[in-house]
Amino acid sequence: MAAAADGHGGGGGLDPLHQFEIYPILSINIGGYDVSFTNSSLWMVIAAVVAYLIISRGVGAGSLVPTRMQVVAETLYSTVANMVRDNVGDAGKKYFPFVFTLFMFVLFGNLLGMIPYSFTFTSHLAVTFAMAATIFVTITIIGIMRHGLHFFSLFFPAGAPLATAPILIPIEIISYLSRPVSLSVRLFANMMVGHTLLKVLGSFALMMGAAGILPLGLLVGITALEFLVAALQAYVFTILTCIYLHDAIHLH
Amino acid sequence: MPQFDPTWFVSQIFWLVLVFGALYWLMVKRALPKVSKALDARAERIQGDLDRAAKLQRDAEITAETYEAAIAKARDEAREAIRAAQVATVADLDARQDVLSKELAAQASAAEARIAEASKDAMASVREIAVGTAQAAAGHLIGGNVDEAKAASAVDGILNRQTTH
Amino acid sequence: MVDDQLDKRLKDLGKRVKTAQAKRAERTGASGGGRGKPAEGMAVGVRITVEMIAGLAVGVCIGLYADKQLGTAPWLLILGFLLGAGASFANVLRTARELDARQARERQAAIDRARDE
Repeated sequence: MAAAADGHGGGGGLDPLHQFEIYPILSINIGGYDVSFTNSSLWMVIAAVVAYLIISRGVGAGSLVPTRMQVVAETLYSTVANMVRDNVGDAGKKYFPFVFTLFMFVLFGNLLGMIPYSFTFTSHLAVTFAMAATIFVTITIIGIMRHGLHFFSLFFPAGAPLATAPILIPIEIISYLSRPVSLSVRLFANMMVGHTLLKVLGSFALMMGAAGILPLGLLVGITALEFLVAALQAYVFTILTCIYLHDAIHLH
Repeated sequence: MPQFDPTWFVSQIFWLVLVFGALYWLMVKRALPKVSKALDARAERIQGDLDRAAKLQRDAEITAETYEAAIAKARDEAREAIRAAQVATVADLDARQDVLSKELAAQASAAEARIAEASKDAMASVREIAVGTAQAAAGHLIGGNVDEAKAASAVDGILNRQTTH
Repeated sequence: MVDDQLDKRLKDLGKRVKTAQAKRAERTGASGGGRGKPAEGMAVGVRITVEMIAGLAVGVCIGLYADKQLGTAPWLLILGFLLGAGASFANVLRTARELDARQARERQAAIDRARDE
């Protein structure tokens, strides 16, 4: 854990935000856009590879009595499968692979960010917002394709007096539009605040030397909590996706 | 904050789409089928085992039931046989007792008849003897013959008096 | 008695089969809830806060943008702020209801499980 503290301070002096800095590893330019392979891209690739390997290698030959890694892979699988079933119902089965990939990608993005000197791409609003916006647009399209114009009844609560429509409908639309914002901001804020806190505490512990025992103890606790938050936020991100999917499929 | 520096926005989204797309493809094509196959196989196996265990248990229960029924039936039959034997014995005993008591009754009445005969005979001979004795005694006392008929009537008178008394 | 023992063993077997079946039904039926409790409490707090801010932010942003396009400042901003506040309220209400429903479902599941045992 002490190494984790050190890691979050890696190369950045005392600036707790330095860990969020992006730098290019390989400069690439396509059509005038800078799409360089950066440390952010690197950790996305690592997270994807780890997520894939844990599922694919974990299951291995798919033996009847699971190995330890197989239990991990199967637990992840059934957690998301239950989540989709409980929150979306049977109609959600089709979208399970997408939801599962999302969960794994975010989960390992969050967890690998705990490694010293690593980069947490989920602590960047651009990334989380791109994900949330894609989910939002996709789910809206699914809803419209399923229900046609009837989909827009989502914006007017059934049974409300018609006179309230001019107020309720804009409110419901804004509320609906705020979904990708809250989805992305929540993940981004959680990851960023947690990592910043770790970094600050880590620097404290280093600065205070022998007296740094106290912040070090705190640091251990916060690091443990951060692991929990990393997993929980991936879970929440996915479960909210499921809930939005449910709304689009069943219209409440 | 580096998060709000737009320099890398395009690059980040570009790589996000690329990497996420690749991961999605790999999951759908390679990883997920493996997991679902393993899970399905295990679920099927466990369900099958459980079903078989339940079936075997039911079979065992049925066997135990038939066994118990057979035992109960045998027990009932035995009880019935014992009861029938008892009834037969009692009937037999009753019949024999009947016969015996009838025989005894017949013997008793025959004996009674004999006794009555004998006592009548005895009475008759007692009278004869008494008449004879009375005649002889009277002859002795009065010297001369006493009419037999007279003696007989006297004896009868006494006898009658005795029996009436 | 021999058949007494047999009967007992049979009953035992029946019970074991039943528990195994119940366990399996539970495993295939129940959801994978039950995360760490303290972090969950924090997550609920953060979630409601974020829902609130998001609704307001979207309303204000739409108002600002519309004002800029139409030159109606500051009226659409004010309208956007009000509607955004309403949306925040709706968001928080919906989140609370949804968390309530989930909690109720979990409690029901716990009760069912307890009754089965």
